[in-house]
Amino acid sequence: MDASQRKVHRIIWMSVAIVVPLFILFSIKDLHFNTAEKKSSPVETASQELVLKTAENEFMKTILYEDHVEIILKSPLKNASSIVYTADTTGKPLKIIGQITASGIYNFDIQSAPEGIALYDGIKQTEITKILF
Amino acid sequence: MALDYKLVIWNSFKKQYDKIIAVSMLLYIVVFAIVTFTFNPESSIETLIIRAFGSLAIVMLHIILAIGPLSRLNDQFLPILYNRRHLGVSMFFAALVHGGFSMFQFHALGDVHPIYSLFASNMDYNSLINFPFQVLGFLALLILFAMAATSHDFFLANLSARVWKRLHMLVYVAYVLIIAHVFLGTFQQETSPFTIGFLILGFITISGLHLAAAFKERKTDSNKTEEDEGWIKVCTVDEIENDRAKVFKLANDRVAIFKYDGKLAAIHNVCKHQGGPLGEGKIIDGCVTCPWHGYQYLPNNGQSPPPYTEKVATYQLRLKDAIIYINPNALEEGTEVEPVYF
Repeated sequence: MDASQRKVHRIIWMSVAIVVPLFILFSIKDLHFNTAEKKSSPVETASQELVLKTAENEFMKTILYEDHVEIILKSPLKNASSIVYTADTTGKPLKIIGQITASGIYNFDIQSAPEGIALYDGIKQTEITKILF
Repeated sequence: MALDYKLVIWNSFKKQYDKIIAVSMLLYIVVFAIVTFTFNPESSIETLIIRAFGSLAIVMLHIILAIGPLSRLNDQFLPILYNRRHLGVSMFFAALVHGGFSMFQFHALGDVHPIYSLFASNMDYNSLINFPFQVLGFLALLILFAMAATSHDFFLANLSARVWKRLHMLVYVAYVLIIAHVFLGTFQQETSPFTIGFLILGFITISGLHLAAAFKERKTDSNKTEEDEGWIKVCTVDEIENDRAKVFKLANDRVAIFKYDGKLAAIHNVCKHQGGPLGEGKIIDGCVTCPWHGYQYLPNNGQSPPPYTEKVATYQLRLKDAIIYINPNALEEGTEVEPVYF
């Protein structure tokens, strides 16, 4: 490389070293890393804690407990990305609590009892399904 | 170094490197598939392919971006640099599989053109978190395509080394686009501290290596010079190893002063092929040999030995009390200069 190319390299990487970390910071600052997502037996969970509400539709069954919500996904979804939100009384997504992939049982921690649960396709930005308690 | 153009110039070393690349890529895909089907047996084959090849391309891009600065910091990495182009083209194919399957799965099954769908299915261009991240990946893929398509020496010779190098420096733009593509796409949905941390660590490593190499180069360029009647003092003869060179900066140019067979000769430091640092090479069979791709020049006139035609500028040297002095005015490329004997 000649002198001008070396200088361009230096300027590019100094710029990248400043801009990219800022971008990364802003892109992940609102992500929820501490939401524990675990699979367990519904019988085991039910026997230990008090069920507040339940609701069901063709895609899933949801059971609301005091500090978490259990989602039983009946069959695999066609969507490549299925994000789980708490929802208000109209089913409008409020806060991400995790994501689901294959059919099965999922448990997500919650701060307060939601009015409903909404599944959202994160890639196509469309609603997959919602369920109200 | 070759007179005519061949699709791929293979030798035993390159074949060995290419086998390592192919086997490593295959191994990665197989391991990725086994892990995916073990922990998520209902995952579709399309999703598996998209994720496996996407992550493979990112890992390969990090390796490719690390090779350049590692070679400038430690010449033991130079043999890997020799084969970087094949690694780059292989990485493009991995990215192409990822992009092609993503395009098919998410945009090819509707009633509008897939490219239109890519740009128009999510119009949230004003949002950071909901930004249509697939567009960023598509733009990065276009850059990688341009680079892979022009990677052959035919384009290098016809575009000129300077234009070719500038074009291929777009890999840094592609890298930033890919980071944005992943952080605004997968990482918004898969909030795993492990994968996010892994990519952040990769970024810190790559940018750290590039900055370390850049500041090392800057230090070389900032050496103070002493003049004696228009000649510039370089160093003593003992400071240069036999069959090796000392690199010295004159104005905006670097010069390589070689010591060989009891003689000293100076040529311009930049190889005509891809701008490799001739001063980091050595004398092989009486010729200065570029450490990047083996291009050769005669030290006394800066010309590639016949039938090759590459030429670099030469410089006059003077020896006084075992101290080497150089005339800072470059001679025409390929000008014969009487070597200085010591």
